[in-house]
Amino acid sequence: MWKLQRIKFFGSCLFIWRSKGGKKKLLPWLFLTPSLVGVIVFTGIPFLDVIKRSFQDAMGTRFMGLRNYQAVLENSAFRLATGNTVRFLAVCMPLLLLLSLGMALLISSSAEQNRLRDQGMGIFRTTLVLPMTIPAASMVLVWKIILCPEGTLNQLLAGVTGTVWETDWAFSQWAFPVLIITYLWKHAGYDMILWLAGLWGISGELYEAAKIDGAGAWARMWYITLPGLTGTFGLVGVLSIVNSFRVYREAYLLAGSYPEPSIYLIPHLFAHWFLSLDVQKMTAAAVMMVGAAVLPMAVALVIRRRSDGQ
Amino acid sequence: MRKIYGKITAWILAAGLAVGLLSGCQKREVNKIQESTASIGVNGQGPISGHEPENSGALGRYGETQMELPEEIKEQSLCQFIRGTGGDLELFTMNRDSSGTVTKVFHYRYQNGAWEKEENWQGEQILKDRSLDLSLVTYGMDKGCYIGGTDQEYQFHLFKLKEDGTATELLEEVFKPKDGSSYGLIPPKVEVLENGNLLIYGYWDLSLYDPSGVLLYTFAKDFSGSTSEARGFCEGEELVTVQEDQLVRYNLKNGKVLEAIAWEEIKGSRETVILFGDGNGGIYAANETGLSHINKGGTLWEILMDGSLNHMGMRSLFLQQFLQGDQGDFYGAFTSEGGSGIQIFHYAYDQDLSSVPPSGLTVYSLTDNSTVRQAASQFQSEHPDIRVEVRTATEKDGTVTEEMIQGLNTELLSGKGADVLILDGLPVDSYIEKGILMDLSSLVGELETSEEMLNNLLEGFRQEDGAIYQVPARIEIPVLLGEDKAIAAYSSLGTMAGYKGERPLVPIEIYENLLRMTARLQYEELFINGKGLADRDTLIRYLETVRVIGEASNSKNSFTEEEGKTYWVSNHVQPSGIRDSAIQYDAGHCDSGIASFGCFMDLCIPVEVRSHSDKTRMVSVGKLYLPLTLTGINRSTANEDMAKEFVRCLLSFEVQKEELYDGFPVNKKALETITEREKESWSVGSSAGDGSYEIHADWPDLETRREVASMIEALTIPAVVDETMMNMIVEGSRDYYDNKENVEAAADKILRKLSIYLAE
Repeated sequence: MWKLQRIKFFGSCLFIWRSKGGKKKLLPWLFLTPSLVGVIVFTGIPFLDVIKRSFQDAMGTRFMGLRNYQAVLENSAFRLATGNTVRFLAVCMPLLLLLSLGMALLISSSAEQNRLRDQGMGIFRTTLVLPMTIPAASMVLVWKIILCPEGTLNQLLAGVTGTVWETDWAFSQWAFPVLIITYLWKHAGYDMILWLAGLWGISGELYEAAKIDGAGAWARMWYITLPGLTGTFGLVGVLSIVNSFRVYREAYLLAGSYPEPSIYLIPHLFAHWFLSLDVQKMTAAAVMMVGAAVLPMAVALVIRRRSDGQ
Repeated sequence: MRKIYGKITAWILAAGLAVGLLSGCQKREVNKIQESTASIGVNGQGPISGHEPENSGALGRYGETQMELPEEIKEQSLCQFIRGTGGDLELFTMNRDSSGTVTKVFHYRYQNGAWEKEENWQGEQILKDRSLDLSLVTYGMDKGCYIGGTDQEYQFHLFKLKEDGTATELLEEVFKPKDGSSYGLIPPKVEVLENGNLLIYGYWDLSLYDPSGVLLYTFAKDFSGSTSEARGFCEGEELVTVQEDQLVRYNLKNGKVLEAIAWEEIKGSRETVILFGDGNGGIYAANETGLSHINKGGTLWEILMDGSLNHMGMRSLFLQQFLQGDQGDFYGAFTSEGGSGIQIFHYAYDQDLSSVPPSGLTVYSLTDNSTVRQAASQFQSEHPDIRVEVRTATEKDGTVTEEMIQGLNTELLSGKGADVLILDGLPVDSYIEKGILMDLSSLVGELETSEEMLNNLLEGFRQEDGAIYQVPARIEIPVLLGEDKAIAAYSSLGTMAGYKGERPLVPIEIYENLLRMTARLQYEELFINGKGLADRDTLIRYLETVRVIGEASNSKNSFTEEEGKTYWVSNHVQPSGIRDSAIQYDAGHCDSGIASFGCFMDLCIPVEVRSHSDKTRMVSVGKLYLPLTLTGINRSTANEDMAKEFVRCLLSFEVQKEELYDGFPVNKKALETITEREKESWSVGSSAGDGSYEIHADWPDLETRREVASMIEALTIPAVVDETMMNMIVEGSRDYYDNKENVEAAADKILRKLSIYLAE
């Protein structure tokens, strides 16, 4: 009662909403308003400016038509960065999802079988999530110590093989695998927690019933666990993709602003374009990237709605 | 009723929130500073940030007027500028001969608005009788006059003058050489307390003695070695000095530290600061940033004068003394380099002067630049109604980061960038391409027509379409030293690599410096307009050439400290790669020496080395020069005329004639003036740590200076190497020079990155 009366303070537009959909439909919008305003002011409106600038020259004084888009598409650095970013996503995402799911399943089954006591389990989980909490700069310092020519990894390999190893792992053809390992090391624990939440959301009764029916471990996994994790999969997938764009920090700190071409990513290119004030290229590329991300989502949404309608 | 109260309260809260949010978006910083300065009731002048100075209409600021000095003083050196026991201003000056020996001391007293010379100053006779060179004069708190000077053995002697014309020597033992040292202490400053105790400023500490020479206390302080760097004062029973980079107040009676005061915010880039008391325990600090004051026990410095608005911030002047007057006014004594060129300014509060000049001009530079600072001071003295704000992105270490350039770019994009840009280290080509920079061709044309400039240096920046977007305000010249055969080897990469001589072509060096140096020396062969290597083969030849000349001299990627001492080499990277190697050439380590001349002082040793052999020649590298202080104007400036006027000022004779050791002038008349300037007392020396080599060189003679000036007049090609590209080459070739990969692999590695950079 109190909440509905306060709504009257917010003006006539809300009354229109109320008259169309009833008072109860207003409440979600009311709670969404602060973040919506934030998104519109700090993301929506600036992005409109980005779209505008993508059709202008660097200083926004001349209309350029589609020439900026053409220039970006013809730019070999853009093609390399896009290719590397896609390659990184294509390699990293499955690896991350599988690794973190595997870890989550191991922990979950261990807990089930009481192999680890609760306290020990907590420490184990915390240890796996710890990489997420370490600042990138500190983490990279440790990686450098491990990966430099005189580093721990080379010493280890020299000890095992009996030959001298002087590979500069971050500045050689190994840079891409190195970046993937650092990414997996950092994010696997976090994704594992998300998977665990999903696993614990699946009713234990289902497993018990399946066992009574004679279902083996693989069958339980295939027919109960995986279908039960469908919702979590979407969440983990989206968060992992978002986090993968942040891997630029590690790449930059590990190998500088011009790293090995194999780990030259879109953020590298954007940082250099901003340094040289190539705003027109940045904005055109940004619009294309958003388009590339939004279009498939929109198509998927349309297909889903149609299928829901049927 | 309760509902109505609730509604009213809610509306009031909502309105309060809205007002709070809106007012939070306003510019409050400037107002805050003005309020704080107004509250101290001094001048309302403060460090104003932002593009447009706030013209609030506030009045009151310290004005500056130059005191007229007797004509003869122009030729004299400053010894001391002090207030006498009666409160009069007194000036002690001296003449020196070419060897630096004091030949005559002059004593002036400021009375009735003029300086009057006092003949037969008592102290002069004392000095003459003992054959001493005057080095300090001071009045003690006991009203006595004390003088100090050095004898021919450089031993310091301190005297207290008596009324009968005689003098008593004090602390004789204190100044004698000790612990096997050849020289004793020559104190930069001496203060005498009311009880006659003497506070002697040493280089590393201060010592309090009683008149009989008994040491009472020693106070720690930071190192200082000249009268302008004594950095301390005592008042009453307290001593203030600098220790561990903060001001420290000691109690003279028990030697204890009373307080430590942070002063980071008022420290300038120069070490010099004059500290003096306000009579109430407060501290005044005068330096290039201006005059600041802090109350006893206070934590906030009040900025009473902004050094950028007067001569205190002028780089060609050196602050020697700063005194407080009787009427809340101040006096500052400055000299130009070497202690001559005395200028004294009077600073008095003028309530009719606007607190902040009504209009402003912003100059942006990535690193601190003496010529720009000099121009800013000069411009401001010519235009008192304009405030020039020089903004530098880096701190004292001068490290430039990408974030700094990104910050500048954000300003430029929003149309709020500085009016004048010093383009050293900035992506100039990109700025030109994006239309950030204004075409200065009309301004340059006007300067060229006036025949005041070295047109050959400016024309190197003319674009194909005739536009000029940047002009250098200073230059350096790379110069080769050696016999004909060695000098001829520098004509191309091939001849450098194919050089066969008795010794290596270049001295031992780190490979990074060799790469950078070769990039400049073979600029035309290597680069296409400074950006983009000619091709893969050229890159391979470049890397191989550097390896050949490097291997001949046992060069490496880096050296140990021990190797550095043995081979006269260091791991320090020179931006141009050119380390003065005239000494190595003279010592027989290599067949040629290379130097980069930025002032006539740089000539001393190379010219001396040339004189050692008839066959040794000193030539410029083709027509190449290294442009410095590249200046452009932001095309979106709202102060176009003012910005152009500033560039004119930067290139003017007045600014360019000052020798600030950051490059040769580009102004013809200024170059002629500094060429003709004699500095007979100047000399430099260098020796090897093991004593195996020693050289001593005097100021180059007029003929040599003219020779270099004529070299400058023939230079036409600015060697501007893209720093990002240079870094890629250095990083990419490291393994090659460490024998970990072959030249093709190194070249391909470099080209892979380079192609991305160029494609961007």
